[in-house]
Amino acid sequence: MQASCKRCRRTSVLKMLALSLALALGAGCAGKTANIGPVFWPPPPDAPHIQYLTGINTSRDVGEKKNQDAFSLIVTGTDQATRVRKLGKSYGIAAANNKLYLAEIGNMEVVVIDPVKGVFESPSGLLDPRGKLKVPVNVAVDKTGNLYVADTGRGEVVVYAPDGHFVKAIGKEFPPTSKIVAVATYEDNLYLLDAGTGEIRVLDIKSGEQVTTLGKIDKQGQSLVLPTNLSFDDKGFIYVTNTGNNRVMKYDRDGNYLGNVGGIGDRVGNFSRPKGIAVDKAGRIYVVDAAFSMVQVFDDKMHILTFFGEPGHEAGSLNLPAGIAVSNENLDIYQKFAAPGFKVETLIYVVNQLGQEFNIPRISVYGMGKMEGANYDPPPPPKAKDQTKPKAAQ
Amino acid sequence: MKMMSYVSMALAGLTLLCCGPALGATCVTTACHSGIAATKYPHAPVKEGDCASCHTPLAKEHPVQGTKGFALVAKGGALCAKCHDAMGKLPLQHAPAKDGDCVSCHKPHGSNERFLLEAGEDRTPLCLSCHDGEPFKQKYMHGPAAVGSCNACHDPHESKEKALLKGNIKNLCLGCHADFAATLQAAAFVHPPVKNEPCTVCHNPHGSSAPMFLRKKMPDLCVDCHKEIAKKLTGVKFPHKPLTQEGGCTNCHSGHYSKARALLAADEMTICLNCHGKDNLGTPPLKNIKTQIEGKKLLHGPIQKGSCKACHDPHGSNFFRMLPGGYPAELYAPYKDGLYDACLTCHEKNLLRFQETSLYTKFRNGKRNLHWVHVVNRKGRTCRICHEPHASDEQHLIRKEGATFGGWKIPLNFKGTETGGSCAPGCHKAFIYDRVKAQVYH
Repeated sequence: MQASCKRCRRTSVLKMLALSLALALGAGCAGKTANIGPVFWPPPPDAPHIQYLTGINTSRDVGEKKNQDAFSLIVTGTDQATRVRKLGKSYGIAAANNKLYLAEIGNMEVVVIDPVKGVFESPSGLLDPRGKLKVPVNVAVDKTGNLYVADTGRGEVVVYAPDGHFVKAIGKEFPPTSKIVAVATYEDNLYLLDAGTGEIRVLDIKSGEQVTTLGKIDKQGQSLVLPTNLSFDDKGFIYVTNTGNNRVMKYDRDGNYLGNVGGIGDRVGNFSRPKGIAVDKAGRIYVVDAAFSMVQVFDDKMHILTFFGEPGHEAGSLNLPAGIAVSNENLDIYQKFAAPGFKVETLIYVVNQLGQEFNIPRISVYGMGKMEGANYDPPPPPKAKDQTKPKAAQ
Repeated sequence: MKMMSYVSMALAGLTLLCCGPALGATCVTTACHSGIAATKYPHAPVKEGDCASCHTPLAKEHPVQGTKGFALVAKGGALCAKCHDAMGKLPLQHAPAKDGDCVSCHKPHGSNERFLLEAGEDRTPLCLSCHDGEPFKQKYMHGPAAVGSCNACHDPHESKEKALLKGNIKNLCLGCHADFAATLQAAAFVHPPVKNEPCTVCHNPHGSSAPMFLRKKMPDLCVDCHKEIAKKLTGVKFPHKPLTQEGGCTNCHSGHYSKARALLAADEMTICLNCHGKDNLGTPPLKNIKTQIEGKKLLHGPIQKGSCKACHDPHGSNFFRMLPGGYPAELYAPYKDGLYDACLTCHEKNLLRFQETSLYTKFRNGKRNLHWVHVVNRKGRTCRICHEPHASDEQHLIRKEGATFGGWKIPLNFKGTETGGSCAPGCHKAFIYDRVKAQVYH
């Protein structure tokens, strides 16, 4: 926004400077949990399952080992100014190929965070006029490394090749009411979540032809209602968060409705504003709730297990969380943030839309794992009266 | 004159003989106490005529009418302890011995049986004069108890073991059951009570009404520890017969040790086929599973690993054929939820759920789920019409000869292709199905 009068422009410049200063200071502090001690869920004395590990705000947060200020805004290799790259307001996140792909709405970009190389990169296709983004909300990566960005400003899904160049934009063929808010890939198909028409459009990944649609079912209570995010599990089942009924709905790739979890409410297992969703290798479902400012975790039968990230912690709380991704890659890189004895098995990345002034990072990184020596057995069943005989093989 | 001295001397000697107690004359050789020594096994002092070692005279003359001529040198056990080892060295003592009441069992002067006892090798009349005889009137008796050899195991006087046993229970038992001890040592799998507990945990050492004088008959004895099995014995709809027959649990399991896991005499399948591999066992006769699986190309899942119990609970279950879930007994069964739970424990749970699918079965024409068409739709054909339960030479365990339909076997004539297949069964006209290019049926 351009201020017209000089005084306003000056004020806004000053405001920006102040904000940048605050951000820089804040960013410098975020991600360091020294002097706080490990933050676990569930809290002690229970055996811990999840720990807040660290936060990512700037390229410094992944580039500590390598060049301190190493970053490359443009992959093409032209002049690279050595400055620290900061993350802007973001929504969707995906983890693939040992990297994180973040949809930065604020900067109208997608940034590729590479903790192995220690750099932030952006696809070169962003410079291509055809590949310029307006409102990138969600991202997905297919098995060959192609990047798919759902852009609600353009009303299209923009595709970039693994090397970053612009490939194509999908969506012109959809009706005007269409609004693709999320994208996922499974085997040979591309799944586009259309919040406008309330369905999932299934496209053949190679040809881009729409094969079918899912999510509209005649039976009551089985259709999508204002869906916002979706995720696949390892077995190919689809989980969609719905703002309209505050539920996570499960479908198979034939479009058959298989169940749901949630419902509006303030009990554990209910949702108020469900957003990002991710499923790990064990089938655990992670659902971000922006109103409760936390992530709820369900097992593969959609029974509630626990929650984490709620407000009130000195570190590890979320603030208007949105996108979420889970991954088993780069465990060794983040293991060093874990408390002694806590072995991280799954990494959870949650995007915070707000909170940087309160030291809430743009991306909060949590580890799901086990503490050495802790007792994870369920409590023993109540003792029967007669326990005189030794327990025999059944 | 000389005659008189001889007579006096003779008289004096006679008097001495009669009246002098310790001058060569013994009490038992006179006409008064002759019976005392007239036993097969006299007590040593009695044999030696050493009555005074126990009996001390109270008066100079004996017998004197109305008075006791002799008293015992000591009272009770103290008397016997003068020669015999005293009691009290070991913590547990036989009550009569403890009370010094030796004569309640031993005859002090002699007996016609050894050890001054009234009873011979069969101690029953002696021991049961105090001890309850009921345990010794059982149907099944332990050898030594049956013939009254109580002292084969019990020390009659004192012991450091409970029940006055001669040693620790297990060592005592294995002392006789030495052949058992030897095979037990070499056994691969040992029943924990045999390893860790005395034998009396299961066996009554005297006798009982159960074979092998077990404390309770099988399976009641076994389920005292194996409580989960108990649940399966009472009230399951389909019990496994051997459990209720003579021998009970031991029809399959050994009570003591075994070569194979789970205290079986051999691997699982060998045990099962012992009965289920015969042609004419039972009424109606059991199906011969051995002929069903022998030499076949494809075995149904767990059978490949020699496991029957992956599907059939060997102790019984509430479902047909002791399966873990529902499975209809008939050829046709109208479909309802849960009807095929047994199969769907392993197989795709959504197999029969949707009329159209591209995911849950390969038996489909395009997306038309042909499993749904056959099993769920209309009268409901059960799995057995097309599939063998155990083994087959055909892919997907398809029945070559077909299911038994009364007196006929319905052939299937199934042929598989890369993307589908075809059937020309005795049920309907020949149909081809293809997953990729759905066939149109007119």
